[in-house]
Amino acid sequence: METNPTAPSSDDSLRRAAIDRSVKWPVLFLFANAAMWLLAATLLGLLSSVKLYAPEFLDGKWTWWLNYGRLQPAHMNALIYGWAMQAGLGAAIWLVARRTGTVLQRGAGTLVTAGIFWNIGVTLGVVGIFSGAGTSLQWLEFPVWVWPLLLTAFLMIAWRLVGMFLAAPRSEGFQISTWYVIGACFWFPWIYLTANLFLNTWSLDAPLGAIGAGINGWYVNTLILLVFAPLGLGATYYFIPKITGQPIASTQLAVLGFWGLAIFGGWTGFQKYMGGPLPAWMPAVGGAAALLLVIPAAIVALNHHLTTAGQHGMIQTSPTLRFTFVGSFSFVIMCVVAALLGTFWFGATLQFTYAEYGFHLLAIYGFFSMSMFGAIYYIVPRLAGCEWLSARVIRQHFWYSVYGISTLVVCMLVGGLAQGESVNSPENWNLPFIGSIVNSRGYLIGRTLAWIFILWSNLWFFFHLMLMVFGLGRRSVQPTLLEVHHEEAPAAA
Amino acid sequence: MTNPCKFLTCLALSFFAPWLLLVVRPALQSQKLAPQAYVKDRDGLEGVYPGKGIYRQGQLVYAREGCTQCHTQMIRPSFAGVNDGWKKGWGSDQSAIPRDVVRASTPFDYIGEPVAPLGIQRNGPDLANVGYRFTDPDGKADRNGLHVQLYAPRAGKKWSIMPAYRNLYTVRKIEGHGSPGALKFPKGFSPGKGREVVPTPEANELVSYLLSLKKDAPVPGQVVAEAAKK
Amino acid sequence: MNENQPQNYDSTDLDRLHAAVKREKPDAQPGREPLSAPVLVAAFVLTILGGGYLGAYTHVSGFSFDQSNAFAGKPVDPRPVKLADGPALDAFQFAMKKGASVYNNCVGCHQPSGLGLPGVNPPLAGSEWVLGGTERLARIAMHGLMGPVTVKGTNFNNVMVAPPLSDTEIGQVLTYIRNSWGNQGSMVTKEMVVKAREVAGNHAGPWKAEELLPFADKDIPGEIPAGPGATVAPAAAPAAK
Repeated sequence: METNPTAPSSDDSLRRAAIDRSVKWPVLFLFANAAMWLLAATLLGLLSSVKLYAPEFLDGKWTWWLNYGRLQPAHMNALIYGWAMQAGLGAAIWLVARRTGTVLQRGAGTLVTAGIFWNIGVTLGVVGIFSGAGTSLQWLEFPVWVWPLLLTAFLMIAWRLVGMFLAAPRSEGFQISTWYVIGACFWFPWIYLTANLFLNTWSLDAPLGAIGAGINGWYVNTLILLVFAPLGLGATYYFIPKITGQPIASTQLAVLGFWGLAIFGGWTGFQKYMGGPLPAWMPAVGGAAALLLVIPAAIVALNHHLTTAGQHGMIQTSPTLRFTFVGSFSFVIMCVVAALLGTFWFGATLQFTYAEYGFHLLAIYGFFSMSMFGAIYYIVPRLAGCEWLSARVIRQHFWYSVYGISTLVVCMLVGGLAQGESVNSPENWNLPFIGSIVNSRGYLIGRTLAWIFILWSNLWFFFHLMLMVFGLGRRSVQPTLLEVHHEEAPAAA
Repeated sequence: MTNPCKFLTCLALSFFAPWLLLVVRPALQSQKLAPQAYVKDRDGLEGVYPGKGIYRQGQLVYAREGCTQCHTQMIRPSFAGVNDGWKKGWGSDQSAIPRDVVRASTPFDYIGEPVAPLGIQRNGPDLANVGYRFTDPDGKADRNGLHVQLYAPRAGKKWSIMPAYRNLYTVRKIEGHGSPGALKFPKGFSPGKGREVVPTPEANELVSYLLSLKKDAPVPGQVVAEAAKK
Repeated sequence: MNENQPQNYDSTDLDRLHAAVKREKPDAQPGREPLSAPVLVAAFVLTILGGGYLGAYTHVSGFSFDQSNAFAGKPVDPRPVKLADGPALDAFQFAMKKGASVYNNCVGCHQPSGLGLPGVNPPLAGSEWVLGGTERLARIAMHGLMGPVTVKGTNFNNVMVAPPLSDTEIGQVLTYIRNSWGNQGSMVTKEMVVKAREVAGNHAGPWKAEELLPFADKDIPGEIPAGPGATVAPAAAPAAK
């Protein structure tokens, strides 16, 4: 029935409403907590960016634990596990329920419980990092006893989603967004368990040496490409056709894009340590895979572009489409930047510089978070039963997020180039490190500015979302649009 | 691909290949890495390569404080390879000792370390050979200099952006002639009048670890080539 | 919770509650757009590129675990200064080399060319303030300079704050600016800077040009290590106007 291009029947609408109602509390719980963690992570990011050029900042008698070595991992982990994973899970529950047409009969409580445990895990992890129990493994800095908790909480949710997928009475229409979401649910436990067992548990008895660092790099890249990328793309593949009312342009492109990502995504990561003490072929495989990943990225972008064709005006009006558009655009840029960082032409200069941080934030914020914002602006009114209060607040959120993330990415990429040039110059090898520090200082101030923008935008987002969660939104049949054209308004949200 | 079970199988297979070949097999291979003995006739050296390991207890402090966020321990080769790819090695940064170009890091340098702290960013200097940099003019390890760098990084270099790890030190009133382990600061820096700074056990372990970082043991079979350069 | 009960809002108007769901557009069957030629070409190019990259790395050692260096060849020292050969750098060369790095602190205003920014920041190249007495120069480097000043016949009015440098670094950078861009002057040692600091006492804030006038030609006394820095006679600096 969903393949029918005519307007949905009233029956159909009622069924959708029932699905929405059944997943209301788990999804809202995850979104609300995710937004809170986003705010926390943004604040930590602002502080740690200041620490890079003014280490005395906030270095009082009782705040010695706020040094960069603890702030930066706390910031990244809060952003990744607190915000990104949680928002992704919330959107995943809703997407899978909608796409499989499942009304969650019972077990919503289990999902909320899993969400609570996830939040306890992240809180313990961040506190652990600050109190000096961190592990120094990139993106796995949480103390070693946190990961079983996080993994269990994730499995409690992912189990249900895979179950819904397998038990779906019939496949309704084309399932590309379900594929992506199920892929992420399937890969994350595997990746996370592997990385933690090898790096945190077994390595104590059987030292991994340099390979361990490589596996850590593999974890970071795989998390981006096989967890965040599919979750984000699952959302964009759902919302772009939904809002423009046009079908996904090409089945063939969608299928190729998906399997391209699935096949190449697991091979990257070791290139972070290219030229280092790893078997020479491992960084080479990572670099080649990073190059090849541009193909699925370009295919996805082309498909999204063709799907939106002729309806680009809607990007002006629909908040969801606007955020989704930026997210989808960033995905291509992110894959190109990954290819640049991962091969020796640019990698030789950019290795170990701020450029890597720029790439990570481009992936986590520019691509993934923007897609999630898009999803949240669509999903929450359906769950909360009221409309977003103010288009102006949404505009603030959008523009300051865009200003912030583009400033951040540009500053970090160019700053990384400046830093890398001065670190790599053989002239400087016998000299103090001052050249690198002075050359990158301006860009670091830009980084602080970027975090101020992002903080401002997310403050608005947080309060707006909280009002919605507490049911204090607008009571109206009209959606909240950014630029209202009354004739076409009802169709666009 | 309408069959969900078939779909899940394909998902698993697509990820299984890189998982097996990039993670599991290399991890098992890394277990086989064992120190090699020098051949006396060829290398002119006795003993095993790599010689001394690191001071592991201090590495825990290194990890806890997040030093890897800014410091790497990895030196790239300065070979002219494809397209001069790695000509930009990171030779003997910042010190006259060792005076030869430092060789590129090898997997043997990290034997016995659970996960080698190769580093996340290079906002500060590389530490692969930091043990050489903090030495007295007469060649002895300069523990005090390293402690000062950790306690007050800007005492010597005013432009440094390193955080001050004051939590690893105790500041107290000088009693009598002062504690034997108290830090001696360069001119122009003082922890306060009548006060002295004493390192905690953690600080001493961290310093021992850093001083044990000399990842340039001669590679068997390449010793002659290195000796010839001198 | 009772799922059919409307929650935390007062209305029971089902039409309004379901408005968001009702205005949704239906899911349509995806199109059959074929794989376009540009995509195929781009994929082809990237595959060649990726394969070539992999080949360049693996043609020496293949997929072995024994070789961590992809490139066969002899190690080449790319550094311009060979520390291993010959005697160590003399004190002057050493100060010049270090000073070049310390000059990173100054480069923003005085520019890599040492010419400053016309009308904003005075030049260092050929400047009588740089080539004149070292006492005056050291004071500026230690504490900064503010207010109107005439350099090479041009008036400037700006503030230079004291750079965050140690005495050693000040000595090195002064030696560097006195011997770069065609300048030729005597070396400034760390001991000289220490002495100048003692003489100047606790001076707070930047100097004014007229305060420094008495020192226009005064050199800080002190021993200059033997070497090129010592043999260069101080250039005949025109008196400050």
